[in-house]
Amino acid sequence: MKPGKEKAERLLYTILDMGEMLLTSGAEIKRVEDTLTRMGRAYGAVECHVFVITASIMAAMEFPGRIRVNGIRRISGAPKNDFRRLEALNHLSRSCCGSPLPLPELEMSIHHWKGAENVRERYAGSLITTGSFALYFGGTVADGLAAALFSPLICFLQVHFERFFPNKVTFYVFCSFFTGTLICLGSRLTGWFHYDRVIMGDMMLMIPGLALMNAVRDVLAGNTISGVMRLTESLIWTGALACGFMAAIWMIY
Amino acid sequence: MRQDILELAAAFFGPLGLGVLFHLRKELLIPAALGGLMNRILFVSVQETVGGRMLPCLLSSMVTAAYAECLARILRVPATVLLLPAIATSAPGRLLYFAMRRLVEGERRAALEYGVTAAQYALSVAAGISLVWAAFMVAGKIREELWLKKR
Repeated sequence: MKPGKEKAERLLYTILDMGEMLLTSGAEIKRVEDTLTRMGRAYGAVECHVFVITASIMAAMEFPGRIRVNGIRRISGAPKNDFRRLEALNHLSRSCCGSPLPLPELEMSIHHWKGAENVRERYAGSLITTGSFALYFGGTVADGLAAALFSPLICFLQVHFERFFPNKVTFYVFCSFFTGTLICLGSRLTGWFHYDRVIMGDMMLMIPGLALMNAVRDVLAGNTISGVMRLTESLIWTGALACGFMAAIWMIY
Repeated sequence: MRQDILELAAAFFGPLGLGVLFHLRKELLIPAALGGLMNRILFVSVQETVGGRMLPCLLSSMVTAAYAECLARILRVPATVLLLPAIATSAPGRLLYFAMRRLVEGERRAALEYGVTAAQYALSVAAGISLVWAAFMVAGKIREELWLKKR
């Protein structure tokens, strides 16, 4: 394939879209860099330089005939952590490396995965997760049920209110304080469940587990800047959670 | 006994729920949940044999990471999608909560003890996973250099 300048730019922006979606779906830095480089080569780039950090993607490609294109993509907004999308994009890149799809088809395939998140799945998952982890951390069946009962509220806040907050820290201070207060009040007024086990279960929806895991993986793969950025962000985020819950417990008990 | 059974059931359903939450494909939910259950059983078994927290945690996270990496290669999926739900049963949630609780009650020394134990616990998990990842990365590079380039 020998694309003209316009076609090369279109390809680069499609590849950047793919990188952004991979990054926000939960991929580690090395995977994004490798995928974008392989995609560029598969579509005819003779030189392909990709640099990814958690906040942006930079790519420069050279095609035969000294056609040079470059682009930067700023990654903002909350990650969606969609493993199905991550897997599908991973599969798409593998198949494109084997036999590249025509550009319009590639654009359509990527566009297909840009759709909104399946919120019903998120609510169902949060019910099972919080109920199970409240039991796992030593709670009773009533604690599990209570934790599951409070989880739709957390999901609702994450889906509809997170975008109004300037960053994750302020959102999670608010979210943990608000849900913590309701849990403590519910436990104190009814006495049906142990607030501590319910908080432990519900906390599993807010802990940045994927970000922490990817931070370690990024550092191991040599992407120290991204690893340290993710780790710092995750630790501050966890601290914010603890502050919110602590304030709620301190206020009610 | 009843609490143990409940805990094991929760060690299966917790990772399953996380899989659903992160939109994991249906076919991968059971392998991910089984990873979580295996992680817990291993932790408890090793702890009963050798005692302590660090070594059981290190070993169980190493085996779970190896399970996720191997299964990911067989199923041709990113290892992260299997490992995250499975390793969640190693989360030091209880210890973190107790550290927080003691801090609210003004018991700084107890809070520090819980905090340090939680950090040790988290470090063991990270170390266990990192060792396995490093081994798989090195093996992948060797395979690429020695085998794929010859073809």
